[in-house]
Amino acid sequence: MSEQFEPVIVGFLCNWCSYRAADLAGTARIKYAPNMRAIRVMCSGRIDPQFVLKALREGADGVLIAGCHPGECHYVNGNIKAIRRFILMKKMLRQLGVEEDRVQLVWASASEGTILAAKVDSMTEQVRALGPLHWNETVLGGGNGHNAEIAEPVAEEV
Amino acid sequence: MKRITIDPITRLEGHGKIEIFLNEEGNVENAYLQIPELRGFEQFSVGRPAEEMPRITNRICGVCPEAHHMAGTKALDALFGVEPAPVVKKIREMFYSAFYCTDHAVHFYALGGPDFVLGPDSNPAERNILGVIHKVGVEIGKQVIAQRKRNHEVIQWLGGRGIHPVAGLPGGWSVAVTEEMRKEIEEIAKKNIEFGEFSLQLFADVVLANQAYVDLIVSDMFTEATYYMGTVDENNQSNFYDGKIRVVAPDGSEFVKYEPKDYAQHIAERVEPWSYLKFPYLKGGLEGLY
Amino acid sequence: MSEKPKLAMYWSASCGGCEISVLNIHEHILTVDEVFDIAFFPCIADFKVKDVEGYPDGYIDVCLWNGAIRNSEGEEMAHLLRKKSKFMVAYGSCAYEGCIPALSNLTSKEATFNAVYIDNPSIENPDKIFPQEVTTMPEGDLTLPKFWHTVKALDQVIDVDYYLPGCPPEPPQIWAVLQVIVGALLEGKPLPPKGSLVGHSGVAVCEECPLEKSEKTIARFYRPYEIVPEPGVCLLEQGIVCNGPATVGGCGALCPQVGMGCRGCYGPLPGVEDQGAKMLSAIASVIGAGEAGMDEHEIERQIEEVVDTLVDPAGTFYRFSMAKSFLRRANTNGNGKGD
Repeated sequence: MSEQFEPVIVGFLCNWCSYRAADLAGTARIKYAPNMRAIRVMCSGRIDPQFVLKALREGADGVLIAGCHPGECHYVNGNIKAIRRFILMKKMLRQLGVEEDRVQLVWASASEGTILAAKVDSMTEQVRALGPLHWNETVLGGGNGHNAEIAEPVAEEV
Repeated sequence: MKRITIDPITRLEGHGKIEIFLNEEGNVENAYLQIPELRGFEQFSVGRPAEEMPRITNRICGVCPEAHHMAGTKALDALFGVEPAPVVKKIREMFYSAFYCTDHAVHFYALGGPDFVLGPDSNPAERNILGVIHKVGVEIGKQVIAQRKRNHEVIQWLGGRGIHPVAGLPGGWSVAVTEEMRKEIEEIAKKNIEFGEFSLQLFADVVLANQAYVDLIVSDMFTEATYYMGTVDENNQSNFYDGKIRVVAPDGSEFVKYEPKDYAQHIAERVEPWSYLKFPYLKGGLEGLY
Repeated sequence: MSEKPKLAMYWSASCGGCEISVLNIHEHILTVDEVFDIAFFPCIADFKVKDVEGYPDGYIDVCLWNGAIRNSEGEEMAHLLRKKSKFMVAYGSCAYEGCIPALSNLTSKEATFNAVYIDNPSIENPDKIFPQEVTTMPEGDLTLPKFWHTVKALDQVIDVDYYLPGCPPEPPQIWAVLQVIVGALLEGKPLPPKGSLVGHSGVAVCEECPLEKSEKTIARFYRPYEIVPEPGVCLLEQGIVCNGPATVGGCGALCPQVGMGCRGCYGPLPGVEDQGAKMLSAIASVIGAGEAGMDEHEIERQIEEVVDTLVDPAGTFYRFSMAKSFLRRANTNGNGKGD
């Protein structure tokens, strides 16, 4: 197949730091992978693990969580909550058979456009190497669960 | 060949269907009891914390969750190498005995009872606990309800919940018994004995006094001589909570008595392609008898 | 034929606990008997599938369905009873969200069959026989339902009118709901909107729990046997995992009151789709590790240390709700472990 797989990465970026970092990457015309679709939240602490799982279920190949550096959170410790949830969620995702690199976290302050861009680049390549997730089709057999049978996942090296 | 399908089997916990094949003379050529269900506890329990087993395996059955909870708890005792303190064993046994008192009432009146009380020729639409209550009267129905209610209260006091208890711990039990509870349970135990005597009398009056029923029950059609297995204490008396497993042969002699942990030396399971349920059998027993 | 409304109670992949929970409304069962005729209730009555197939559509007024959808028989019966029933109630956790049988979604059909029929201490199966959908015997063909790879909740196969949560639902809730149904059938009283979750408190189990709650900062988690909890104090605060914060109440917070953490059997709070994710969020938020001002790596390290003491997050947070989680199952690669 001549077409390269383009990962769909959903990004949850906090308003005060990482979203501004993304803005800066844009105004500074930094070239980086276009694969991350940015969703702005007020704080990385707003990111409900449900968002991450829903994204993975509905077609995302990866999810990026981005926030302020610890100590710089606009709401003091929202990002601390975010990393606590992220670490516990990684442990759970392992049990669910979701590869390590598909859900990542980065701290990027408003002036760190290059850091955010670099993260998006590296994550895009890591997810590209893993291949599409397509959870609904490959793991759940497609449809909305109203199928007569749900397909066995194709055995793949994780 | 004529085929009769009974689907589903009823008045028990679980799923099953029976296929009966009749030959030209109208006699049974063969019959198959197929169990169409499998949930896979053996596999999905893997990876769960060991101490959660009593709270997961009690969902094997919601009619007898106390039994599964207790088996899981005793397995934890063995796994952790802990001998429970005497008071723990007493609380567990008390809890378990209350379970037996309500469970046997359910079997006697609701599950097996309708066949005996209403008879094999009764209307299938009425052959159930409600039919039994209509026949023997609502006062007796209320007694059965009261029996279950008081014993389920004990189960909830001692096990944490009325259905799917949670108190089992390795070498322990998470509920303590207060003096108040103990007194109430003692009263309940006395009422249980009265209820047992009452039920036996009812059986004598309604079933044993009816010769037609008795002839049917002891006839070849309803009798099968099997091995019999139960938990006994050192005097070979029944103890539902703990003891050795004693197996008695059809002729009444003791076939084997073993420690529960040695079960795999005495029981094995076979598989048939026409049922999801396996066929446990007694090793060394009479051929063809399970 | 009697004009009384018709009641059915059927089970798929379940345990019978829901049937017993109905009996545990005790004397109220006599009212149920006065109001309803039983049309199909395999646990206690002798009606057969053939009887149900012969009923006109909508003949059954209320069908209490408990059990998750594990195989083709469950799915077929769901469609049949949906057709024959006016109201279909997803009764209990299995029908509502998969419950314990849905833990099977963390493993695979392959691993399950291997554990049950081949690889266990008591099996004698040298010919490696597995159950088959069709077995030809000398007398005729015998059939079995097909075992699905993934356990489903009831509303993932049919349209459901009401949900009654709990494993099983508690008798006071059951009786309250039955009274609403009886009121609607006999007196035309209004029913809650279709699709409602009924028989719950609307708020978290913590609201019903009498244990004293103060500040939560968990330094480490303890498995239930590792410590004796201080009586009267919130279990979660002492490091014992309790799903109360992410579970809707109505059960009376029975488990925490005997020192055993809630495992979430009543399901998520209204408005939450994925109970396990919410529980993960609640527990993680109160991990007392990492502070603003610390070195980033130190924060991670401290949090990892605490998270290491929490075993089996998937099986604990999704103990009852795996079928309704966003991911629904683990991607198992056939090794059965999902890790």
